[in-house]
Amino acid sequence: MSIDLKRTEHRGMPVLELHGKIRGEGDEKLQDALEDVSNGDSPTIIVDLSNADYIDSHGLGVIIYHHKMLQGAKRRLVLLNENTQPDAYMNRLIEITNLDKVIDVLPSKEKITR
Amino acid sequence: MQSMPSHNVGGTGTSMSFGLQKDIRDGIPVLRISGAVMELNIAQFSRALRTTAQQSPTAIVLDLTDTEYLDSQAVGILVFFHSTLQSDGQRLVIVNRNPHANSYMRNLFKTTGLSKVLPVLASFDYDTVNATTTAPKGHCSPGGYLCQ
Repeated sequence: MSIDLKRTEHRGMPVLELHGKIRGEGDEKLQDALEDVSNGDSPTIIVDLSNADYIDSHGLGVIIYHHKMLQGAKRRLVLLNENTQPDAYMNRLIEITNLDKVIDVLPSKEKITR
Repeated sequence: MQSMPSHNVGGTGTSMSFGLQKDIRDGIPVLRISGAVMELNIAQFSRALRTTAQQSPTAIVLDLTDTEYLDSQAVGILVFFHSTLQSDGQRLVIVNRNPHANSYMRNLFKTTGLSKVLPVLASFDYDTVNATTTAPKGHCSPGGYLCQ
């Protein structure tokens, strides 16, 4: 099954919403979408994990790569996670890996500024 | 919940069972990981990195030559330790001596771009680790892989 992505905007910043199970292995859709949103001139791009309930190592690897590349260009990739269920897959992933110490993870769109 | 790897190429081990072996080589801690790192054993993997880092070595060598699968938690943990060790003046040196170009690990690091975030060495030399980790900043030996 193909990766379910949706491109939106928030206050002029591109938002890439990830839905359902994100399996990046053998599928370049996430990579292409991240490249596409990174190619604009917004200093901040938002990857919304709120509706994702699984991500494989390839999917996470691609997000981390883009975070680092944008950081090197004095821009940033911000993760948005509005899912408040502590047992949700993404919340456990963030807790176990300390991902929020590497990439900004914000609990609400309203907290993201350019 | 976790998807199993769809292929299993090139590890010297024949099963996906997880193994963790810790050695000290010339004062440098070496963690060798075999099999699949996933939810079932992620705590053990993370604890090994954490307790090793707490001993404040100049570098930790993480040998993934026999690693056949990393799930997203394992990737996140690698990135976290790489980043925190670096800010503490330590280094996480990832080694993959598996020569198979189409192995799971090679594919993971190459296709995602992770190899640009977490450099992976195809071989390593402990003498070089010691020479470069003890050299003053900016004065490491030419070709020393810990030179930036």
